[in-house]
Amino acid sequence: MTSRGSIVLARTAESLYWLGRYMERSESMARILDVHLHEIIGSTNDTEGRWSKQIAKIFAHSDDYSDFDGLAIDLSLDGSLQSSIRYSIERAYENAKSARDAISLEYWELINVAYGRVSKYSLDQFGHGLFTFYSIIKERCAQGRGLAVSTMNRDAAWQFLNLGYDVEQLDILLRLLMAKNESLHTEDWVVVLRSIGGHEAFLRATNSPVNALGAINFLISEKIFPRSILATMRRISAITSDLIRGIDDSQTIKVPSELPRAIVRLENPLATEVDQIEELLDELWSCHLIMCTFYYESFFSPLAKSNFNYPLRSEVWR
Amino acid sequence: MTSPFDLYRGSAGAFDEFIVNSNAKDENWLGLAKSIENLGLIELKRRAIEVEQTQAARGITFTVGGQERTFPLDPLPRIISYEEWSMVELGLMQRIAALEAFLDDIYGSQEIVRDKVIPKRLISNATQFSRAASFPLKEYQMRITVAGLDLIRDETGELVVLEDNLRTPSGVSYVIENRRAMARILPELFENYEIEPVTDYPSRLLASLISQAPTQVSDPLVVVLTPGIYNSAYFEHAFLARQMGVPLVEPRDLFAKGNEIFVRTTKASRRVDVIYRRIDDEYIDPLFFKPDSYLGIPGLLNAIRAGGVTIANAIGNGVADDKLTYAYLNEIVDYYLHQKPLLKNIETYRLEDPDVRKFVIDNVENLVVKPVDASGGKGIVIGSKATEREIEEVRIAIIANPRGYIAQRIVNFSTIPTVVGSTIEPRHADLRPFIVSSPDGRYVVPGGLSRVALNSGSMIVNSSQGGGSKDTWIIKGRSRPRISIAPTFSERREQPIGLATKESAQ
Repeated sequence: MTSRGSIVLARTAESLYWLGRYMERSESMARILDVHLHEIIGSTNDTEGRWSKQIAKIFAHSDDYSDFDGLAIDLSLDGSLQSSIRYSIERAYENAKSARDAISLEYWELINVAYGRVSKYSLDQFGHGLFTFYSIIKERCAQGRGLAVSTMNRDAAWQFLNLGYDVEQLDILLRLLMAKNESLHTEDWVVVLRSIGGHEAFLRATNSPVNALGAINFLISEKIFPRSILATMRRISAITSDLIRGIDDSQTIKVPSELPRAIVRLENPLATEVDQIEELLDELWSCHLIMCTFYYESFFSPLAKSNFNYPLRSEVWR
Repeated sequence: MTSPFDLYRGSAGAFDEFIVNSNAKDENWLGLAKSIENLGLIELKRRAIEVEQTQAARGITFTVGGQERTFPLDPLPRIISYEEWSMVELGLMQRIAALEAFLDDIYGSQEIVRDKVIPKRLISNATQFSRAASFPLKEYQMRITVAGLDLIRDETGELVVLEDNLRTPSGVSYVIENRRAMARILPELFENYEIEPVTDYPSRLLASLISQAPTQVSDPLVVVLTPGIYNSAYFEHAFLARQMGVPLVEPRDLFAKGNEIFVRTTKASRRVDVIYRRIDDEYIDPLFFKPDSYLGIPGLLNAIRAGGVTIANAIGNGVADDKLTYAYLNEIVDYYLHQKPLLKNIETYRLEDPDVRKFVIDNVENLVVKPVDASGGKGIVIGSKATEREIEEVRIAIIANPRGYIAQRIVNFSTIPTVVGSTIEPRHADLRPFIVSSPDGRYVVPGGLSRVALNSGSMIVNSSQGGGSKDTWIIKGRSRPRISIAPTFSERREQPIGLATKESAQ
């Protein structure tokens, strides 16, 4: 039986993709800010200044912050900032609402409640301020992911949602790597690993202490670490191929060659020089941008390709 | 133990549904009062708060002025007996059948006008009469697929019709969600009753929509058309799409090609066969209605006329819920069905007659004056509550445009016990039943949406103006203790299999 589930409106697909992206972004940002804020306690002014600069760069925000607290507050609660968590949660809510008929009730309820809490949240209500805020966000987002996994059909809608999650994961990690790339401070890389939730995973997988190059290699190409660039790109590649197979004129649409090429490159031993890493990151970033354009051209705007004419009024009334 | 109903007295002048029925020893109402007494008012209140929290979490909201609000659900249900409801149901079906025939006639040969049963002015001056809708439907199509009528119980206790809503009536999602919430939060109240279920509605609606698909289609694609997430009834649009398992589309998702309508999907485009639209006539097709509208689908009207797609409800239904058409309802039912209406109207004054007009102008203080073409309670002036200035303005408006208004007696409609703060008080409530029509027949949701004015003495039940709602029970009888006929575990002589644990696995 061909189920109705196989029909996904282009607009709904776009909403699902962005729902996934904004949910992942909220969770990642909460984790990144939370970890940095924790690690800053007891660290030097030098570290705090450097991190403020890096985080501002990651989230494409002005870098005139000397204290991290101020930056973290803005990036968390300032709804007028496009790079804030509050903004992301609000957009996630809107996209969930727009794709309401394609997501499960449980997942929707979770997002709706999270939105309600975040939109009402103000710092002075909570003694511990941001830490409480981050744990709400992290918990809610993780619960949401879990509910989506256990309550949604594995149809095209599900794939668009997951594509969004993976694309955002890739986006955030690449940004982190590019911002921290120049740094050789070990504590910077511990913080990056923690921000991705991969510190213990690193220790278990490599059996060696954290250092810059080791961490970079792990984050980029570790096959068994699910959030590494390689693992994420493989998932994106699988989802994209699946989605293309479902399209009626799938002959004419191909995954851009940059993606398989990047995956092959990551499957082979990586560079050991810092400037080679930089070149690799640039290549991965441009692959990521090409893919982002590709989703729009192939899935979300069939409009641009179809050509049809509206009947003229004079033709209608004979 | 004292009952929270001990101090309940009803309200002066109005028919109180609890007082009258409990005086008559109605066991359904008395049973309900007993359950509430057992539960206690404090517990009831606590549960009511729980209801509100779940409704908010599920996003069961409506939007007023950009603000999203929940629709308060009062925890005390309204009870209507099966016997009374059976009559009301027949009356509703009769009324919709007559109005369907009326619309067909009006957008066809207009025999009712030629036979001088209604004046030609009624049609030619109706703002909601749509020239664009003047074409015959295909035999498999309906004009009024969904109707939502507003009923009130008058001072004598009879349910009478206040208004016919035949365009895009809303509220049915609250009927279904209210029942679900009540069953979850107050299961005790349901224990002793057999209540007619309301959950059939989405499948009945879907069946009707499918049966109206262009005939050559074997597996029709039905969609729900919404203006978008900022519309006040978006919750309901999404709800119906999900419950019917069909796509929820916005105008920008659809386009016309030739005489067919397509939806843009991620896999090329799909032909659409039936559109259940929740968008007003004016915004359907910018080629015909509002050229400046961003909302419409250019070419849609043409596709409808050509039979390439079916739209429900049909275009131009507003002429049948015009308040002046309402005033001719007896004539309309008699003309098309040769029957007497089973449901009464409220006495209505038609203002074209100079004597009637003079009477109304002299007595505005004691009447309700309504514009004929508005919906949602807009522009209504209740004489007894209006200022002198408002009354003067109404007089001037009536003289300037008698066709634009009707006047009605002020009905002190019925009250029902409602939880207010920490007591139970009488509040006025109306009833909006929903009727789904298809070429094969009609279905009426048992009960409907009871809207209650939460402010003391207020008769304004609109959700945007402090209204709440009640679950409405059509009770067939007192249920007998349930006897299960399925074999139990022990009867089946099977050992129940225990849960696997780590220890048992070793």
